[in-house]
Amino acid sequence: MRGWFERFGRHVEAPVDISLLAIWRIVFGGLLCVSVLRFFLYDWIFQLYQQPKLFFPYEGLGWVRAWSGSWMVWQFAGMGLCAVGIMVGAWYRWSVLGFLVLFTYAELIDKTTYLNHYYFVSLVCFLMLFVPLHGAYSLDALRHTSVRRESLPRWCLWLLRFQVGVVYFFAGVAKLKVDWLVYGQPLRIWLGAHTDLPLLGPWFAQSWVALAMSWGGAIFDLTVVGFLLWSRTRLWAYGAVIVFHLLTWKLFLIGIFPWVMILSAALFFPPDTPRRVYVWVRRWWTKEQAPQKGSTTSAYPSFAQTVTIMENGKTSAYPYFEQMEVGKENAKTSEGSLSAQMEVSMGNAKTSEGSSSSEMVVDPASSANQEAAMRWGWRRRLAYVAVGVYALWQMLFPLRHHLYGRDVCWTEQGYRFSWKVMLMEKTGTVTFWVSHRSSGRRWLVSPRAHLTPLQHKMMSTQPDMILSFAHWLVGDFARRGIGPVEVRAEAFASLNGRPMQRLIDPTVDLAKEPLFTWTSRPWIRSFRWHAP
Amino acid sequence: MRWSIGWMGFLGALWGMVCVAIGCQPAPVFDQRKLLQDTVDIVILPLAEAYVEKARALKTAGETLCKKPDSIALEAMRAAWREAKLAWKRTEIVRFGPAMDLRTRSYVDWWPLQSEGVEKALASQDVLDVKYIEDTLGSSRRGLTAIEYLIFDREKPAWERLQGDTQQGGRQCAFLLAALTSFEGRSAAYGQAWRKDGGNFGREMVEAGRDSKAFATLQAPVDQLINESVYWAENLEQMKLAVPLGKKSGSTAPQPTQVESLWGKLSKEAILANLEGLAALYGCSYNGKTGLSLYDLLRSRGYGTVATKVKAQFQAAQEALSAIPPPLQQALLSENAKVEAAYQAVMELRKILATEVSSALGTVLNFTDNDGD
Repeated sequence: MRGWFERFGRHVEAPVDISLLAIWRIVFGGLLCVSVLRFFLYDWIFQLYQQPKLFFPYEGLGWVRAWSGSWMVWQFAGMGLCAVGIMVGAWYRWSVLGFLVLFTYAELIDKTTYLNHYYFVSLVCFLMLFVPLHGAYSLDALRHTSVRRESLPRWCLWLLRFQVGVVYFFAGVAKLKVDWLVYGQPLRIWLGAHTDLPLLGPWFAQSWVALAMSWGGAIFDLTVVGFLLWSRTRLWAYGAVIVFHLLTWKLFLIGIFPWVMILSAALFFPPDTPRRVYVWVRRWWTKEQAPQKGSTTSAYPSFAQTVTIMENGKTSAYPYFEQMEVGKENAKTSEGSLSAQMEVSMGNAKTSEGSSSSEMVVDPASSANQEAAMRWGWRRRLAYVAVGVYALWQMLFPLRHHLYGRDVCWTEQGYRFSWKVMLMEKTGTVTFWVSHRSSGRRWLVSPRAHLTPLQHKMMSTQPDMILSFAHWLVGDFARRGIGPVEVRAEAFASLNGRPMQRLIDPTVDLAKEPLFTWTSRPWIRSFRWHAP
Repeated sequence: MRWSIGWMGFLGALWGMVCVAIGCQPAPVFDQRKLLQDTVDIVILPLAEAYVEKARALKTAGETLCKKPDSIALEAMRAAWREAKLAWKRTEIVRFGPAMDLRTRSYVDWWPLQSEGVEKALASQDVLDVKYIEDTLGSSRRGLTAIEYLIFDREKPAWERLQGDTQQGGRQCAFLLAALTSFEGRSAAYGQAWRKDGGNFGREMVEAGRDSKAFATLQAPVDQLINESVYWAENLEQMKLAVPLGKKSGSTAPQPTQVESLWGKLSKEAILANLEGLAALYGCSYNGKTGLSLYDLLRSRGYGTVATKVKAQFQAAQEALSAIPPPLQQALLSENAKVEAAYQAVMELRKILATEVSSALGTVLNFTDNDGD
């Protein structure tokens, strides 16, 4: 067992080229900047955090509140500063930590603003805390030699790939529903609203197109990670990723999500891809010939640092990508592979045969260093356990809605944080009856008067937000000297174009229902299924 | 690489064969642009034009009344006010575009009236001109509601008040004329913003997604119409019926003083006019002309049953309201069940519009890009 762990440890801690991850950090930081900038440009800070009279906090997180005055603006300004820090790699860990805290705090203020890709951004930032993506192409690396690095342990890359894979896989699993696969809903509704799109638009009016796209979307989500991992299909799969996300960007109002996913899927390319592309472009530009076997004399880009490799007891310094080019000649590679999987270790170069990954792995450490590095200390054990727990949580948490039973699209118990992306068309309307317990006096309350249009729309279909508003009403009436009161909801919703149904049991006093429960909420009426 | 190209070629060929086999032709697409064009030409513009005309007539009637205050002129003024009020109620449901940009509603018809504010202005030494009406007085002290307050009987018949006013320096007429001038001016500006030879806002709707600053996609104006209809159905239900029924005050007793038109006694008709405007928008039908409608759009998307349901509910709501004997404030006390039935019918309409219509048409709230994922 210990041997297995050590082999596993050696595998996941073997270094891989940093260039892909470093460039990914730059673009990711850039996207975060754009995201924050949009909050300023579209006045969302006011609309989402300053205009509302009340918020819908997450259970147990009622203390996470919007700052008063202009402090929310400063929070977003800080967020923007941190995003710039991530992009240019300045005070990297502090920038990541700052962005993670400020961004996640903002997202936790109100359930109204929940977005899957915001959750994804928070998770990725959390992982970035442990992954030193500032080792190259960063101000930190420029200023501190101790930060500079040519490689990162393989787990750094795979942790991020895992996170991306989780999004796609569970988004695909969520689509395995009758509405999606048999009736092509809600795509049929959504595509019908875009029949004016050039070329594709006229096809959207046909129901079989919606069905085909539903199946296509589900298959895409479920398989794209596998195809991205396989070198033979990677380029095509990435092309599909671009087409798929550009289509969703054009069709739906989903902000920067498509760009985040297009960028994140690029993590599945071999980690040395940027250097390869650079070499390819440079050679194409200068009409230079590829280096011959054993040659290390070709011009190489100044940013490429050398890699020290022990070969037959002699230490040689190679430009990283040059070594890769040369290694490709020597290595046993699969046909069509973008790069050879090469492992240079202990003075011998060898290739992992049959591996679906085509990343180049270089271990610059000496034997003694490597053994020291592989020492099975408690910190490493703890780190492995932590990563294992995180991975397990990521794989189980999206499935928690099965514990509640009933249709998750209707009850929305376990809907958030489970990668149910673009899964349903749900509309609703709700009013409340507030009754004074002792006198029996009744008030009809329209939530529109208390909420912003976005809050009103979101609350109308989400039972936990309806419950939250009912509890707010109890407090509001108490503040006006009327209490204790009972609160009942007249809530109706339509799912995927079906006739409306009652969403909440109108006889239940929501004031008595707990805001948080581990069990199914009986006051949410069961969904009566019929074809949409 | 060759393998991948081979597969792609194979899949492409397969797609081609399937296409040939099933006769792949994009279905004739519903002409949503024509729907918007018809909605503008047949419903929105005529409603706005009719309103502007009635507003002008009201101003003329007011001038006549103040020049020669007699019972005939007063009755003519009241009739003109009723017509202007109902014309506004029909066009009021188009709350976006010019109405939003020009803040028309806050100038021409805001209720409830702050009558104390009007009385204070009348009793003051201030010069009662348009500038005073628009800059000093708030929304709730001007427009149709303030005019109504002046020309209809209250604790003292309007006739007596106006006669007394002439003897006391004509403050009431000065206020009335200023209010009418403001009202007519704002109404004309509203109409001008819609007119084809004016602001031509209808073009913004028709050119949506192509050459429009107001609407980024062709679906956006349709979403706007649906969102507006939901807003108005809720407004009629909550503000114009539930409040007078006493449902929002913690009382079981009706609140007749909470009706929209307390002195002109036009509350029921005002609700009906709002509904008439909404029904005209959905059915793209007004003054005997019809065009491609939202019902047609629903049918084209496979939701013919929803279209039928909405149409029937509009009719049910209109019938329930028509069954209430006027005035509404009286019916609240004497025919409360009929008012309650009308409330229930409008509520049902709101539910259908907010859920089934919105869902069938994939209506989005163009507020943030937070919708969707």
